[in-house]
Amino acid sequence: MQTALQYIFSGLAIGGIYALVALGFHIMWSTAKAVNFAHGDALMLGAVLAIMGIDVGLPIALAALLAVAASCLFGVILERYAVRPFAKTPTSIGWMLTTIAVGIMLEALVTMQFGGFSRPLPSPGVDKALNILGAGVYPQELLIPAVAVAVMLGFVWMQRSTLIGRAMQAVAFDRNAAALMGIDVNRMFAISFGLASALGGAAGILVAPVTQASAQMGLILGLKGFAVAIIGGVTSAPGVVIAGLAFGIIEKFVEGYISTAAREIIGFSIAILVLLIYPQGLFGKREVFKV
Amino acid sequence: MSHRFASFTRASVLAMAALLAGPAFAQQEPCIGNSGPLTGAAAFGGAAVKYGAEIAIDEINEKGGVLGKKLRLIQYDDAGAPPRGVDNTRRVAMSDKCIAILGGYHSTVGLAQVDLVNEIGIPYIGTIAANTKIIENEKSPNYMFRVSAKDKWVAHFLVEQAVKASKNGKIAFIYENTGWGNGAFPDIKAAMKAKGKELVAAETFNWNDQDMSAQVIRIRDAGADTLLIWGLDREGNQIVRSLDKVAFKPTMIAAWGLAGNLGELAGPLANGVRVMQTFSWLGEMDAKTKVIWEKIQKKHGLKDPTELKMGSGTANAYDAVYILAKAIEKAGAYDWKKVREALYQVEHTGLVANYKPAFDKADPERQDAILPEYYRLTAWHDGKLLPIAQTPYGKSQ
Amino acid sequence: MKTTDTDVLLDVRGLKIRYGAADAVRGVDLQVRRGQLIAVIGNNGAGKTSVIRGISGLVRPHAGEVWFKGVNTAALGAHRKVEMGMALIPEGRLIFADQSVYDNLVLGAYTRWNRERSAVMSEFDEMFELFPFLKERLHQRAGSMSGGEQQMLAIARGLLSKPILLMIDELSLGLAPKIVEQLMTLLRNLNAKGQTIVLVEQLASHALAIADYAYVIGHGKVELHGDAKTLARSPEVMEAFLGKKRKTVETKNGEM
Repeated sequence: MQTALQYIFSGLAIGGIYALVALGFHIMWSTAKAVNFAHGDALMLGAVLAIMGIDVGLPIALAALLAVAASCLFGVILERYAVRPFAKTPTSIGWMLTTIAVGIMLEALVTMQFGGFSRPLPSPGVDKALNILGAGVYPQELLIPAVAVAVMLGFVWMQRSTLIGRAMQAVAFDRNAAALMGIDVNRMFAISFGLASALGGAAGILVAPVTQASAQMGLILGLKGFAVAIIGGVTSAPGVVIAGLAFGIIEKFVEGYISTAAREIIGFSIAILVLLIYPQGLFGKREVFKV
Repeated sequence: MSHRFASFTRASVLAMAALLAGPAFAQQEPCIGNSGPLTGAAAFGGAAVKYGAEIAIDEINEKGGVLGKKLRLIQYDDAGAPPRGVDNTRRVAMSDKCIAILGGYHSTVGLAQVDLVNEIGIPYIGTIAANTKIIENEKSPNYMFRVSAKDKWVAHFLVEQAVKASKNGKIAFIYENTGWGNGAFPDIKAAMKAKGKELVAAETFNWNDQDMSAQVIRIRDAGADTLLIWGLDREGNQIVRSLDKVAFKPTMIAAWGLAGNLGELAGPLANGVRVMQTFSWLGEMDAKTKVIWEKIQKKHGLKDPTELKMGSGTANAYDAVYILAKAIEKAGAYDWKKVREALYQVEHTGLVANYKPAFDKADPERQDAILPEYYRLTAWHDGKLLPIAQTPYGKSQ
Repeated sequence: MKTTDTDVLLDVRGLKIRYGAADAVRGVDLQVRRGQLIAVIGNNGAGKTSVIRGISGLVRPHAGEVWFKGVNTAALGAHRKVEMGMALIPEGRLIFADQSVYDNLVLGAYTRWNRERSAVMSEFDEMFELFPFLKERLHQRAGSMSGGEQQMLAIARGLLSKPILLMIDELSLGLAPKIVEQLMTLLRNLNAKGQTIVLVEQLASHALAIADYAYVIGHGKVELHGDAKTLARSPEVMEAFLGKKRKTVETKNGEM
């Protein structure tokens, strides 16, 4: 029992990270029908820049704020120059290649500045493990899935109840129709990417005390987060969060009761299986692309 | 007619022989190549080798160089990628025509270089990458030498320390699921067997894993009180945190993957983790070491020795260059074949060990210069990786 | 007959639109005065929808000028023109099917929602009077309504941006004749209250019946233009669009 509980806690922690990354993909897709494949790098930038800020003596809150702002800027610039010119129609896919390329270049650049080591981001949330019914977990590890759920609820509220949220949905549905409402479609793209990247940067700062920050941290997190977004249905915010948390817990149980090696095999097999049955993801809606 | 034909044939054969044997007669340049990770996650490892090699070369050049020529270091980046390591080897040998190539940080790269090094016939002297098969590669003649640890011997060393430290005799092993970790597993098992024991648990983890609670729960439930670790700082940190979460603290003894920044990552949780090294720049330095440290410090603007990550590699590289230089002197020429032969005759008192001699032609195991009796145990304490005798855990040594 | 103001709201000169290698619009001149209801008719493929897309900014004109409120807006994007007071209800309506009726109305008032909230809310009430079913279905998914209801939603949405110039493309597509009648009457009433309208329509008879002035587009150019009633009586228009054929001589084989 205690062991199973341990796995649930650990699973929620890693699952929460996947969920946060997947939410970023959802936010971008839900407006632009395109994503930044290097979205994992937004997390990396947030974490790495926060640490570099602390290195030069900034108080942690200021370093974190600047790091999030920089991540936001990364998203906006990337959208403008690596996505928009390659996403002229809803069925263009050139942005896939350009964002992957940018991600690789960014990692190389950051490695030069930050060094190859993983470095910790201090936080009171990882000082002492809590003991809950015999299972150990860091408070920060529980905070992560909680934040993922909160962000998801916040985004859903924004989509349903604010002008800009409605406008983002409109742009995703039909760019021309949205423009005819007076919506500046390009600005909406920029906002969605900026928002997703800012969220990514903040997620990186939240997550770094647990995973450590390194120039490569975005790679695997981005990949798994993307897989989770696809499984959950990239069009559904609650869907990707549920998929993320579930995926994390399943991973841990497989690791616990079968083996570490089986973890990736079973994890991705489940992903493929889900997609065979639900090509739009578990909670997604069927997309109709106007050609 | 037949007379002319015969001399024509003879001439052709001689010409062909000359062509084929060409490289063996060519003079090489007074440069030492190195392929290591200058970028990427292990950049500190590449830097470590570079620092050590550079200082040794500077010192040797100050005294007039080797055979009247000044040495220089030609540094290439492989970022831990074996294909790049192979490419760099080719460049060092065929394009730069260096007299030798130093090894880098990654065992996977070292393994990839074995075939090419022996095909070309350029002496390779490893400085960090410790996989056993890099050196014990069944090639004859074998151009792969090493002034560094050997995983097989490291495994024995760790097991020996574990047996000493363990109170209930139950020892477990956790290792990374990579070429390096997987290569060590059979060595650890063999070392345990040699002591008449068996591991009570063997667990793996992947790079970037952040939680090993499943693995440590199984290790705890197996009753182990001593845990051998074969991984890198980043995962080592997650291991000690997972142990903390399940409130289990075995004695931990690790290979030198935990010689980087574990203390910084894990804070007080790292205290007491023992790490095998060939050398330590921390704690009290003897006079000879101090001189060299000060040169490194000056050249690279370092503040204190804790900034020398993977310091063993620095010391290894320093010794490796001196051994190579002595071999070139003995060979009397910048000639690959002759230098290789001469390496077996070199004796040297270095930073890490007394090499008497460095290599032994009769024993394929002895293409490795540093014997296990020179391995040292260091331990993390308050963020510093000190020789164990200088820590509160020194009593268990 | 209402008085036509001499204000020229929209002045299109030499409009040319090209899709790839094909010239869809080859030099169209068109003028709209304040308070007018302009009909733009023509065969399918003649280019009338392209003209209106070029004016509205959905498509960037290859050449030509689009003068609106004293500015040549040819190079501006669609959303800028909406801000300036030009609204287009596009072919196919393009309502946001996955969002609610209410969401669609809010989006119609996008350019005014934050600054003129109370004015917009009272205009919502006006829309509910005009189209009572909107209030009934307020929180229903817009895509679940019938074609006619969607078209009315689209008109309500278009009006909510308080356009100086309202353009409608193919109002009648896919709608039952009775609904088309209702909508045409609606447009005439709106125009009577002062709304300037440009109606691109394949049902020429309906359009000409309510319009003041008309343009006939053929092969990407303006073939005819003039007072709507006069044009409706012209033989060419009658034959081409109104289904009234000239008498022909019967041949020996019975061909007409």
